[in-house]
Amino acid sequence: MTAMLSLAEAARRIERRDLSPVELLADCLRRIEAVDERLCSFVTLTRERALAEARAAEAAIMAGDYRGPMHGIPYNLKDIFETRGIRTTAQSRQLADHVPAADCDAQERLQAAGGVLLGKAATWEFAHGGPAWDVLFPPCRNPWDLTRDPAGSSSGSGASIAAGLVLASMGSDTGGSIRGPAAANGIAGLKPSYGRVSRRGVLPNCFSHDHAGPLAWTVEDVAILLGITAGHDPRDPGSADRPVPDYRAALTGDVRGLRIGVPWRWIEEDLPASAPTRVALTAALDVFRGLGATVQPVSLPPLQEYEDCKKIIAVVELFSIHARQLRETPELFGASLRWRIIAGGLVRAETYVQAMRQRSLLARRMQAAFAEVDVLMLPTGEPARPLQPVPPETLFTKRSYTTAFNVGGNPALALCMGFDAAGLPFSLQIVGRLFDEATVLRAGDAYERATPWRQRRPALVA
Amino acid sequence: MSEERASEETTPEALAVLARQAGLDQLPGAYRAELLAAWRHVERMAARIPAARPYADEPAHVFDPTRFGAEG
Repeated sequence: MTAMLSLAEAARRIERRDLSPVELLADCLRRIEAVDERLCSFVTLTRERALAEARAAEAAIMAGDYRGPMHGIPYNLKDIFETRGIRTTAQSRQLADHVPAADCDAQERLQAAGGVLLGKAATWEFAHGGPAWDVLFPPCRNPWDLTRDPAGSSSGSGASIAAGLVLASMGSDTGGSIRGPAAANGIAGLKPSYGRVSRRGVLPNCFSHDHAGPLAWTVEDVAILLGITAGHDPRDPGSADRPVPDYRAALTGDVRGLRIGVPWRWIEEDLPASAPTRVALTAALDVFRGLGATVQPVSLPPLQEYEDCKKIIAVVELFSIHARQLRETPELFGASLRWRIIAGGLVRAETYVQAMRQRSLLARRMQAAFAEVDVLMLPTGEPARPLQPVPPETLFTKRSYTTAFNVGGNPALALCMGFDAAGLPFSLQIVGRLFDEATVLRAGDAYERATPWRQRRPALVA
Repeated sequence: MSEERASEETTPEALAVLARQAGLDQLPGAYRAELLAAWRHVERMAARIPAARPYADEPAHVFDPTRFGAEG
């Protein structure tokens, strides 16, 4: 078995013909065989299809038809991304037999780039209710410690990448569902700007806040995936018709003069970070200072205002999506999701519209912060918690460092920021101006180059 | 409005009316209890959304007809 590779390194070897896509896939399949019965990161494995795609990639490359860095790379998709002829369940008994007739936009783009689809990744029920033990599949676990939560809702995406079972994945983020799993699993994950990556064919959580985006081992890998999956899709009404830059070319390693803002009030008062997380953040900021960036405090509206706004909008949109099933087959939902969406039917229309008006205000205030700084930096969250049932009301009562950027629509990257005393990853969140993913990725990549964190993998698969 | 006051605002009778309007009045008893418990939290959040706004304060979503092509 070859060493676990980043997407970028595997692509370099494949392009040089030093690595066969079939051999790379075989390594992934051996690791899946060895660990995924315990990890539960895949809900559907498309072994035969993947073998056919890997063989086709190998033949094309040997014939001189190399398509680019995704050619011959095994990946999976969160199981809310619809795939033609492959069951797409959203982890829900409501969709236990759902086989889509068409691929989502992301799958179309990844397949055209020569990727090898290895299967569908575990999620929370409809990307919202979890972790749950009463849904279609058991909850995914964290490869750094199987008793820990990989976070959600792109749980399987995050865990399978950290464990080296695939080299790339696509997830979705409505309040932190790419960044949370990226953080808990010690990998990189990007919530792009709202509209940057098409949501067509991605089962909705909440239309107004859903973002599709990539997860991978390194920031460079994420840049590769964003370059492939970003772009206007006229069949997604929320898709942005804006140029897509060369994200990989933006990874210069140079952050001299970069102005970093830190929302300290959020970190110290609104949602006080633990002492170890603050130490890790301070050390990360020192790395950036050493690379020539400057750091200053920034002020943003209270976290609670973002939380209330997003959650009122979300609970109403979620109810509207699942209303028929809530009335007719409520027993087919897991308790976590049902509890979290059922009251959306009772919210008055005025309240929904007022929350949408509040979102306009909060989004404007978010963008105003970028008049003074180029990026924001803050923790993504705390290291992984134990995997155990969570009271459903936690969704309504908790605050996070991630949801505000769904309200604003800004690009937000999570990446590994070291490890705690138990060996669990810390995570740094870097947030940019709307549609300026390039600066966010450049900063994240510079940090990865300056730190040793990408040299460590979970012992589970060592 | 304090959270305590908000949590006491919707009586079981009022909740029954809201549930009927939402088409949820036929829920089994266990789920009605879930609905009540969840609504206690949602109504607190709803009470914190500011309602006094300038007349022309637009919501975050604006309809763009060019984004919705003909079906077919």
